[in-house]
Amino acid sequence: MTPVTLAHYAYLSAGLFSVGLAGVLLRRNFLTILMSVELMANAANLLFIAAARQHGGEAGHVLVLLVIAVAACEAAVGLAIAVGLYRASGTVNPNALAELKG
Amino acid sequence: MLTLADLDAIAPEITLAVTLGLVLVLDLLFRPAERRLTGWLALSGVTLAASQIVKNLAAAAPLPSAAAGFFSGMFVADSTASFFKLIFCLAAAGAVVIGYRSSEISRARHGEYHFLLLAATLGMCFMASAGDLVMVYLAVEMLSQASYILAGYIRNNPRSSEGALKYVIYGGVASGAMIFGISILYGFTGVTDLVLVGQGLAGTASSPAALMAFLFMLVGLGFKVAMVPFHMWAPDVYEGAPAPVTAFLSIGSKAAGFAVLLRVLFSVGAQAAPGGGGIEAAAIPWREMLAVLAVLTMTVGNLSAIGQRSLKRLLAFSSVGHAGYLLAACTTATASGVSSILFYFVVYFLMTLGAFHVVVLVSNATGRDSDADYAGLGWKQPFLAATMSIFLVSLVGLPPTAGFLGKWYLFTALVEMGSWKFLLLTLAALLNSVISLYYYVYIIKKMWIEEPAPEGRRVVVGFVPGILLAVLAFLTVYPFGYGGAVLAAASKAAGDRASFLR
Repeated sequence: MTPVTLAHYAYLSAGLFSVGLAGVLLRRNFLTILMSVELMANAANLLFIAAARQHGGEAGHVLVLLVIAVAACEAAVGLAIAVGLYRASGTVNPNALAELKG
Repeated sequence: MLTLADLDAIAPEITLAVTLGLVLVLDLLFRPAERRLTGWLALSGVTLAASQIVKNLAAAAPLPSAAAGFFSGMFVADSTASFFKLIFCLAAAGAVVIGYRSSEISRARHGEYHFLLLAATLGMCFMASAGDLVMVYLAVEMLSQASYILAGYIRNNPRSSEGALKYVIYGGVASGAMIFGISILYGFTGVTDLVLVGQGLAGTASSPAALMAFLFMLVGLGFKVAMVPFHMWAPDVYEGAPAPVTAFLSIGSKAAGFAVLLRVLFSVGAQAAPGGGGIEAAAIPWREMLAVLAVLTMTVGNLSAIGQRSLKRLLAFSSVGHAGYLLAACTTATASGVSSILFYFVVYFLMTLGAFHVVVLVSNATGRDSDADYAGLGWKQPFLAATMSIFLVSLVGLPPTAGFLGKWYLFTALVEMGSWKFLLLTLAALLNSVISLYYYVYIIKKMWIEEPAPEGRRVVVGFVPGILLAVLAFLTVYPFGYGGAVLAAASKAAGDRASFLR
């Protein structure tokens, strides 16, 4: 049996990242998009932990905690804005929002 | 080990942090109608921080550069960072002043507005000083979270909330890409200090992983500076946000993005490590990639600005165009390139703040943001129209304005490189300036040639805003009094970065 190396974790995390990115691009529900963004951050987290095991040292472990904290902030701000938008316009579906043309 | 020198280096940030805490407490103590007064506290905090930054800049002994940062390398306080921080403080002060009378921010919510402005400014300062990938990520996020809320500040306006929502989505993806890039770099090198990462990359000739990490980092930072193709948020956010916030984001956020971009490029990138290293050694053609992106950015920005009816949107696309010129200067990676970028941001601050100030005053009177409100402004209110024309002419970069000097130094830094590639880049930037002439002059023509609309309301300027406009316009139209001094300071600041360069 081949041992699991850092490269395996790198491939797995690249896969997770792609799934997250695809979710952002393809899904049309704001909450799903937010979850996909979290998935992208967690792909990075996985790579951090694997690399920290490989290299030794604590930087990778600390970074994961920081990333999780930041992701929580982002979710809080994002949801607050979504609630505000729902009150103002009655929808949070990005497709229905045509006031501003990107 | 924490030392007193560490605290000296971080003094401006401490001032900003204390001020924002005080603003938050005062906001709760004041009655809603008086909450605007927290602006004075915010203004004095920013002024104090700026004076501490000037003290750091003027210090005779340069702070230890390159490898030896403060807080174990987390925090780099070189003069380039200090110069950028001055620009952030100017942008924050400007946003407080022009936001004071803006009708887009309701009276009861001024305290929070100032709190968020200070929080964003603090994030920007940490961005300029980030010496470690961890700091880069956290500082960028600190700025982003505050700007998301600021962008959606007009809660009952669907446009504002919609812009903010798009900002959150684009920003989330960009920060996800950046942290993924950081994780690749960490997995590769096992360190997070920028200089050590550069050294770690040195041994990895033409590795696809290094290229991927570079690209992912570029997505995250390109989003902050509104680089094409990651600029899509800019027009929506700029149009939806209150005009003072738009001015703040288009000056401060962009400058902060460039501060980090320069540091990452030159410490991870160019020949940071003794004996070379970084992405140059990893054989990533970063100059060519950045040059192509710069040309794309200026062209898309300037072409999209044509035909915009909303002034905020027009200025948003024009700021995308300006990001293109600045990106072009980044490709030089020389001290004169960096100093021309620093100088340009000072000039950009003057003309952008002035233009947005006029937009604030006009939309206060009309309650909307459309170019029709500017028709015949020159006949009704020559002062307002004259200052706006000066800012617009300076944004084109025509002599004798400050914008001309700024562009002159940017292009000189490019031409100095000598190779035909850089000449081609300069030519593209010149052509783009000609394109930009069209949509700026369109507004000037509207103000001076067209007849005023009969139902048009008179714009109230007021005493203090009038003085501010006059000062900004004077500095823009007559840059010779201070230009030399600013340029000297910018070259001195960029020279300190020389250890990062060559």
